[in-house]
Amino acid sequence: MFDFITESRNFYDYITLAVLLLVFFNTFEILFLLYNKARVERSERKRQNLKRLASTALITATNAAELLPKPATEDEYAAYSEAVASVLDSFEGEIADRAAALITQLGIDAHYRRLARHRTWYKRGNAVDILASFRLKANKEFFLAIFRSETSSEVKYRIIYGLSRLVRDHGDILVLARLLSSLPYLTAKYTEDIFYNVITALKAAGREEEFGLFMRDTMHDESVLKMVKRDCLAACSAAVCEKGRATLLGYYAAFPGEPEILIASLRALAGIGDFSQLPAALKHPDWRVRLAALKFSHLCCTDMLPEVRAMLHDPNYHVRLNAALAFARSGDAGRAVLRAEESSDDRFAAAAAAYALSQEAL
Amino acid sequence: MSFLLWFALQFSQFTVFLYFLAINTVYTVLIVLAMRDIIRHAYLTTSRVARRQLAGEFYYKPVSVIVPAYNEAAVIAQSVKALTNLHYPEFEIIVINDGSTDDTLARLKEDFSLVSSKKPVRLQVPHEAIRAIFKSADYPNLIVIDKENGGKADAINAGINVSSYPIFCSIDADSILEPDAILKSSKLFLEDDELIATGGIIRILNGCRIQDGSVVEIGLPGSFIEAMQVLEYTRAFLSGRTGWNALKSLLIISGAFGVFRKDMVVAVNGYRKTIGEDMDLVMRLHRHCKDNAIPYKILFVPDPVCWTQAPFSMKMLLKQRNRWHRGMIDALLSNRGMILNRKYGATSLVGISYFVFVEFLGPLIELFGYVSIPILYFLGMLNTQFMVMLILMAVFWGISINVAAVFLDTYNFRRYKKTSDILRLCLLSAAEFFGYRQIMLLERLRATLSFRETAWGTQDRQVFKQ
Amino acid sequence: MAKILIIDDDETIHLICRAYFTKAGHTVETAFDGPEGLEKAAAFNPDILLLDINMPKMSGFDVAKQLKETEKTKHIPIFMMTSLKQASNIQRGYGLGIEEYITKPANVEHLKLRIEKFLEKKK
Repeated sequence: MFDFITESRNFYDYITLAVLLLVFFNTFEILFLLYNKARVERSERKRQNLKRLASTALITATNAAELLPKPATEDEYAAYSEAVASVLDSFEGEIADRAAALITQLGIDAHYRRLARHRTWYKRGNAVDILASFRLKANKEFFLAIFRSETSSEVKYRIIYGLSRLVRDHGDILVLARLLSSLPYLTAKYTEDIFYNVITALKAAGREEEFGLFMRDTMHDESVLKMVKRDCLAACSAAVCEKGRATLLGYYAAFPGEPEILIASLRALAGIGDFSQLPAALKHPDWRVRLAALKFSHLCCTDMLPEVRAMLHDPNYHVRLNAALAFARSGDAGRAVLRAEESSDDRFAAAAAAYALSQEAL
Repeated sequence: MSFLLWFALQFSQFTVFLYFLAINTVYTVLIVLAMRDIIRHAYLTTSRVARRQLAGEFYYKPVSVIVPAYNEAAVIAQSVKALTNLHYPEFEIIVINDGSTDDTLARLKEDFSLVSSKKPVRLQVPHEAIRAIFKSADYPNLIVIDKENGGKADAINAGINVSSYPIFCSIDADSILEPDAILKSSKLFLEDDELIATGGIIRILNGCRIQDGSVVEIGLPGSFIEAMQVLEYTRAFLSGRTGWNALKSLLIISGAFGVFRKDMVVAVNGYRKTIGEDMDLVMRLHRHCKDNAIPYKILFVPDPVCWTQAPFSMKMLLKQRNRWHRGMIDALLSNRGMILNRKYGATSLVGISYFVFVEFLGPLIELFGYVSIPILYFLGMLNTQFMVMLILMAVFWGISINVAAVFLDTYNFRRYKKTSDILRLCLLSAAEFFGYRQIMLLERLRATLSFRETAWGTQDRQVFKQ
Repeated sequence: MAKILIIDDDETIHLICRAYFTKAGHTVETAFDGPEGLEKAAAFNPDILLLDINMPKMSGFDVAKQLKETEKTKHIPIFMMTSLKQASNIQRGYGLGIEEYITKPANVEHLKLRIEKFLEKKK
C-alpha cells in the first residue's frame, strides 16, 4: 500500500519540491528575523529622537508645530503622541496647552480619528487609547459617535475610558454609567479606574459634589450593577471624597446583604474618619465584613473591646487571628485580655491569643 | 519473506511517517496561534498602557509566595532577599525548609533574624510534620517553616496550610521573579472570578547579567548545552504555551512559576506527593472543575516572567529530563480517566491526547523509525531516496519552527541585543536535530522503561535541584 | 543657584524640568531609575530631589526609604512627584519623611516657585 505511493514518479517530485521549499523558507525566515531585529531597533531609536525633539520644541517655542517635521509614518505619529501624552500626564498650564495645540496643528488628532474607524479591531482600540490620552474636550462628541457604531466590546471599553476623563457634570456621568451598563461587566479595576477618572475630572473643575449627586441617584437604580456601585465606592475611597459622607452612610444602610458593598463603604468611611458603622459591622453574618470592620477597629474607640473579645471565639480563622492581633496592638489592657484568653477552654481562641502575644514580643 | 513481517514493516514505516507529519503539523499550528496572540498582545500593551495598569494599585488581593527549599544553602539567602523587593502592596513570603541536610535553615536564621512563631496552622491539605515555624524580625512578611522531608509537593502543601492569603504563587528556590511578575499575574485574578490558575514565562538565567537581584542584560549563554535549553524554552513557552492556551488545553503550569487560587487547590486536596506534581495538579484542577460543572479558566499569559537556572552539565540535564518524563507518565497514569474522555472536552481530546500520543508514545515511535532504517536496509527493503527526503523534510520543517519561535521572542520586549546571539540561536535550531534531540530521546526512553522499577520515594531527595 | 536632582523613568519629564529650571539658573541632574538615582544623589549631593513613584526597577517609596537610611543622603529634602493620588500613598510618602507630595499633572512654573520658596525657607 505504501509502496504504491512511493513508487510513483510524481511523489518524488513532490517531496523534492517540498524539501526545496522548506530550505528556501528557512533561509528567508532567518534573513527576515535579522532584518526585523534591525528594523525594530532602528525605529525605536528614531522614535526616541523624535520624542526628544518634540519635547524640546514644546519648551522652547510657543508655536512648536512650525519647528517640527510633519508626521508621515505610523511610527512618527506614535512618537509624537507618546511625547504629548507624557507632557499631558505630568504637567498642566502653559506647556500642556502647547502640547494640546500641537496635536491639532500637526494633524495627529485627525489621524487617529481616522484610525479609530479601521477594519482591524485592535488597531481601532490602539487609536482610541491614544486619543484618550490626549484628553481633548473636543473628542467627547467623537467618542460618543463611534461608540454607537462600534461592534467590538474591547474597543467600546476603551472608548468609555476615554470619555471618563472628559466628564463635566452630573449629566455626563449618567450618560457614562448608561453606556457602561450596556456592556458586560469587565473588571473591578477597570470600573474603579473609570470612576476615579470621573471624580478627578470633577475635582479639577471644582465640581466634586456632582459625583455625590450621581451616587445618591443611582443607589436604588436597578439597572446599574451592584459591582459597579461597589467600584464607585472604591473610587470614592481612592479619591478621598470628603463631601460624600452622607451618601456613603446611605449606601451602608441600603445594602445590608451585600458584603462587597458594605466593605467598600466601610473602607471609604474609614478614609474620611467616620467609624460610626463599625460596631454593627463587627456582628455582621458575613465573615469578610467582620474582618474588614476589625481591621479598622483599633483606629476607632476603646469601648468596642468587649465586642472584639467575643470575636476571639469567632468560627472563622482569619477573624480570630485578626481580633487577637487587634488586642495585641491595643496596649496593656489588650494584652491582659489575651493573657486571660490563653487559658480559655476554646483551644482556637487560646492558640490565637498565644500567637498574638508572641507577635508583639518581636 | 513472510507476509506478516512485510506488512508489519510497511505499517511501521507508515506510522512513523504519519507521526512525523502529525507532530510537525501540531507545532506549526501552535506557532501560528501563538503568533497571532503575541502580536495582538504586543499591540495592545504598549509601555504607556502597561504603566497605567500598574498605577493605582488600590484594589488587589494579597498573595502568598511559597518557596520550597531543599539543600539550597548557597542561593537561598539571595533569592529570599530578592523576593522581599517585589512590587506588590501586600504579600507574604513562605520559605519551607524541607528537611535539608545542609545548613539552609541556619543560613536563613542568620540572615533574616528568625524568631519562633506560634502561628496556628489550619490543616487543610496533607503533608509531613512541621517541626517549627519562624518569623523574621527584619522582614515582617517573611515566614520560614522547618519540616520533615517530604518532597517538593509536600513542602508546598505545608506552605499552603501556613499561608493566610487567597492567592499563592509557587516558585523554585533558585529562580528570580521579576519585580512586577506578581502584580501582573495576580491582576488577572481580580479581573476574572473564574480564573483559578495562571503561569507565566520561564526564561533561562544562564548568560544574563544580574544586578541587585534583577536581570539587567539578556544574553545567550556560551555553552552548547545551556544555549540549546534556551532554544527549547523559547519554543515551549512562546509557541507552546500560548498556542495551548488558545486551544484551552493548558496542562502544565510550570512548578518554577505558577499562581493559583488557594481555595481551588485546597478543594482538590493540594499537591500530590509525586514527581510531576505541577502537571498532576493542573490535570486534577481541570478534572475537578469539569466534574462539578464549575466554570473555570486556566491561562497562560506572556507578561509575567520568572528567570531560572538551567543545568549546565549533560549529566544534570539528563537527570532533569528523566525526572520530567517520569513525572509526566505518573501524572498521566494517575489521571488516566481523563484520556480521550469526551466529558473533559478540548482539554482531554486535544491537550491530554497530545501528551499521550506525542510526548509519551512519540519517543517510542521515533526510536522505532531510527532503528528500522538499518533493518530495512539490510533486508533490501529500504527506499533510500524516500528516507533521505523524509529526513531532510523533517529537519528543515523543525528548523523553521524553531526560528519562528525565536522570532516571536522579539515581540516580547526582552530581546537579545547582540545579533550574534540571534545567529547562534538559528544555528542551534539546526544543530538540535543532529545529536541533541536524539540524546534527549534516549533519556526519555530510559525514563519510560525504568518507570516501574524506580521507587520514586528514594529519588525524592534528589528531586529538587539537579 | 540650586542643585536639583530628578529621578523619573520618563525622559520627557527630564527634558522639560531641566529646561525650565536651568533657565531660572539652577543646575539639574537626572536619573532614569532607582539605582542610578541613589548613585547620583550620593555623588551630586543636590539641594533638593524630585522623585517619581512608578518606576521599573525600584519604586519611589523604596528609593526614598534608602535615601533616608543612608548617611550621605538622608539630609536631602525630597519632593515626591507622581500621578498616584490615593490617600494611602500620600500617607506612606509622608511617613517615609518626604517634604512635599506633588500630584501630576503639575504646573511647572508653580513647581519651580515652590522649590525656590522651600529652599529660601530652609536657609
